[in-house]
Amino acid sequence: MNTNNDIVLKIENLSLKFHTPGGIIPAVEDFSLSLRRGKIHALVGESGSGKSVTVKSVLRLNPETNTEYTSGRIEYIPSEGEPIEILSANESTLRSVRGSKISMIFQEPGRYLNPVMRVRQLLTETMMTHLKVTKQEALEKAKDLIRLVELNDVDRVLASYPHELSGGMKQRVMIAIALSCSPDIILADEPTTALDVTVQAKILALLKKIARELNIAVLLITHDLAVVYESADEVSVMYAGKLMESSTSGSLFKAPQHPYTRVLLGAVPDISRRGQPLLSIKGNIPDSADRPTGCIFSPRCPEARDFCSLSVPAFESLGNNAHGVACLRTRELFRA
Amino acid sequence: MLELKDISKTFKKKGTGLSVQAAKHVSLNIPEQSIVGLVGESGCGKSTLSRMVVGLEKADSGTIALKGKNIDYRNPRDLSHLRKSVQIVFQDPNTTFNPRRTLLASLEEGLVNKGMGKTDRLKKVRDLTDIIGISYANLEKYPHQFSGGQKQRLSIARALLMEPELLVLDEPVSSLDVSVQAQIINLLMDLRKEFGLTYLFISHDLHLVGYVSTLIAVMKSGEIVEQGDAEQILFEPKHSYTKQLFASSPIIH
Repeated sequence: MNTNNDIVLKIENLSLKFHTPGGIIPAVEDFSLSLRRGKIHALVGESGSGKSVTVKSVLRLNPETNTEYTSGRIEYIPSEGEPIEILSANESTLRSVRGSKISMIFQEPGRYLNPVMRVRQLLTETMMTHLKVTKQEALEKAKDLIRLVELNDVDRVLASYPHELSGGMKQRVMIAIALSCSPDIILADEPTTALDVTVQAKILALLKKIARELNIAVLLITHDLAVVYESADEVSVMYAGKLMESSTSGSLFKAPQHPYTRVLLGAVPDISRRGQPLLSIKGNIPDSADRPTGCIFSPRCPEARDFCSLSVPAFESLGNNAHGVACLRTRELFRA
Repeated sequence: MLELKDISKTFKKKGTGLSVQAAKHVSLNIPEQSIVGLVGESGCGKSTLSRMVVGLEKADSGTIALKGKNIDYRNPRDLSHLRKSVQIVFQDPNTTFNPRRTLLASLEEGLVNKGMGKTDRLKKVRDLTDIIGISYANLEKYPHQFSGGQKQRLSIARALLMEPELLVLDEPVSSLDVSVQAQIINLLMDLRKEFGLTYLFISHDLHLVGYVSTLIAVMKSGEIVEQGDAEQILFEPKHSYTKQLFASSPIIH
């Protein structure tokens, strides 16, 4: 059921620029997305598409010194209390949200776990910082969390240092830490990219279980469409800082509308099409200093017409509100 | 083309007395003009095997035969013969070129070592860069001025300049975006037809290996647990580990 009450985060028309020695880089332009409780929303894009930058904006983690939020808002709607607008929030409000109500997991868990702390300490520290709990209570909760992320041998894991754990176990510990302050939202930045497929499958299943059972909204960033297919409820496709297409997962895979989404899907090797060439996209992602005019994808688009380089396509919903596309040829190219 | 027989290799961990068996009695046959896909998870020994095939690593026991002739790794002539016929393309194109040399210098180096004259070298480089879709004029640039996909094309070009018969591709597209990955895979398939090449294609991605290969070998903990005709492995896998890999690999239906 998709009622508006389920919405826990709204990104509306977000634009941001980076000021660099080489000039101003528009990293995200006019981007919108909503997260719902209990659902996994995948944000798909290739490298340089701005997906990580967008996700970092949700916690305002982009370096404040050279990031300029030029427009838009990010609204976090907690289950109790007033909504918080992240981009205008003060530091103390942000601190109360970061890592507790909105937590994050990363691609390489090893790099984000303090190597000189045992898992026990990593878990209890977060809880004691954000929640009013005694050390004993935190430790009890830590044990529950380790069980929740399906790690056996609770005591041994709690007594381990990160380097004593495998990649998959580290990611589970990361998820346990992310869950420790009962978050409303988990931001997962390529959480399975560094893992082997057999481990990946288990971590994705765990994320699904957590979203459903604890009613948490998960924003899953990935470049892998097959991962999206297996785990996401909703999908947004991003290219060069812009939203190309957004839909429920079912609708997107059944009837992808944007030419970019279609080529991306055609580029995934499928053993039932052995011997045929893969769909590929000519050229590379545009250089941030030299962005094409009109539709940002037009120079690489197999369906582009002359007018595509003249005006910027608006993001429009197709019939039902759940499926939206930013393409000047949407009507002509529509496929049910 | 190449036949590995009963290859074993053990690495000792310094100071611990522990050891890892990266290859346990591996036998693998790479017929001429085939694409042999070697698939397995990290640490299974697939990269060690590829390094042994190109002579970067020496097997503890077993034999490697090139076109029916056993290669003796202590014999420089054998090794040089192996390296002329077998070339390798690595996963990360960002670390395979000398950052302080232009691409032209990196590409022609192998030909210089072969003793080829300058005019011939440049012609050969030009012909090949045309085929792989990089403008010859761009070769005056340095590696950092190329994208990942372009660098991977150039790595392939460098390998092909040596006119190998067997190309070892060790995760050649794992660090690339999906759209670029497709470009490189299509290029590799075209080159194979054009030059009549044989590929040893190594990847952790079963669907990718399944897509490109004619024969598949599945490796786990230093052992090949199942090998055979691609269609058979893909559609009637026998070993439980192959089945598990399939069950875990996400796929779009």
